[in-house]
Amino acid sequence: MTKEEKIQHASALLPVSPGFRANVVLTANQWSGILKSLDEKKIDELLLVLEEEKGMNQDVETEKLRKLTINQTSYLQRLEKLKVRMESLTHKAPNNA
Amino acid sequence: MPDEVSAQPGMMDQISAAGNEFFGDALLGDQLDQLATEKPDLAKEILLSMDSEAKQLIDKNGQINRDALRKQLTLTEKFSLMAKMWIAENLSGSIMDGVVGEGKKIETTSFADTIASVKEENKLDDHNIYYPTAEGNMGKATMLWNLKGQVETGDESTLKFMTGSTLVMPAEDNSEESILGLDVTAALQIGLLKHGITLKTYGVNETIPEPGDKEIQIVFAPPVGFPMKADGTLDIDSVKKYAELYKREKGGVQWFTNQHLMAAVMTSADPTKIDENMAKCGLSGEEVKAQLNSIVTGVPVVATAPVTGEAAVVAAAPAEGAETTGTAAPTEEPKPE
Repeated sequence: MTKEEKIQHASALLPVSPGFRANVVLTANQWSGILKSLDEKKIDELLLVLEEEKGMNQDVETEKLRKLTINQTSYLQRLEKLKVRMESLTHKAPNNA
Repeated sequence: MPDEVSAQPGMMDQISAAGNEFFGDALLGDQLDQLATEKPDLAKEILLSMDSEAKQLIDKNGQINRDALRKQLTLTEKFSLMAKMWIAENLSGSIMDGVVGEGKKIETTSFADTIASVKEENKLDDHNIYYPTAEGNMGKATMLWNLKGQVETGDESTLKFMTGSTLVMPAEDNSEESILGLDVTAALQIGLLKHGITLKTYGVNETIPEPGDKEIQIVFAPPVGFPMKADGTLDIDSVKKYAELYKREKGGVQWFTNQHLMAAVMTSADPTKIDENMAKCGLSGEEVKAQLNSIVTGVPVVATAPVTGEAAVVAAAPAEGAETTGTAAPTEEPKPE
């Protein structure tokens, strides 16, 4: 990745980074202008922080979705049991034999 | 029909709806109907079980969402600190030097201290920013924002930033300024971090919370003093937003242009003091009253020329049969001071 590409990548991540947004709210273009004055090593360092933050937030989101799915599945299974029980009761009800 | 069922009116509908909702199957709903008819106790038990399962699902989902949110907030706190450190280490110094001049001393002061100092020393000059007081009067605060002037004139004085304050300024002034390829506000957001000051920007129509003790807010207002709609009529909603800022209990609001302040004062200040206050904005009492009358009666006000500090906004005569809204204009004479 060239320096220019790294700047573009970081400039796209910065406006949506919760950590950076808590301090400064700038557009991608504004960030791009700022980052141009930095040497590549500093931009690499910044990208590392941004990628780590993005990855950790994604992990939390993935874990949340996994747990919600398990919960939903479990709920449907319990409903299914209720359904079976109700069918069984209905069949056993008088006048339904 | 058994007595138990007939004793519970509406139960059949309830069961049928529940069956359809939870099972998504009209046939099962019918089975529930049948069960309610033949074994109401069992049907009730099934219904209660359904409720319980649904409640468990919702509770658990809520818990999962809260846990995730808490983790995300913790992450944001952690990365906010890292971001602050990275900015302070790599950007703040050079950008701040570019904005205010290399080696300039930066100080912070609170709004209350600044106003007290201005009053005590009677510091008034053309570069000051107008500010309102709780009584509805206007004074002037030391110009804390005239960075362009300070950079161009090579002013060597210490640059003070007033925290716990809100600056209402025209959006155009922000875009016109450009230092280091950035607009001044963006550069200051970064530059001030090193000094422990957070600078936040808002549009006038956004929800604007009270500023924190170490925070400066900038509210971007329309470039011409009075907010106008595309059809040339006064944007009353924006004026009301000014008034909300003006009436803040803690104060701390600065107004970059007297017209912005006037718009706020008109909707919130004691009308008996308007004459005196508006004279300080460079408007005559008659012009002020025309403005005030126009706003409070909802008659459209038309900007006829760019506002230059003189009265540049005139009240249009109400069209015949025009619908008016709002409170009637005050008729009492100003009280002598």
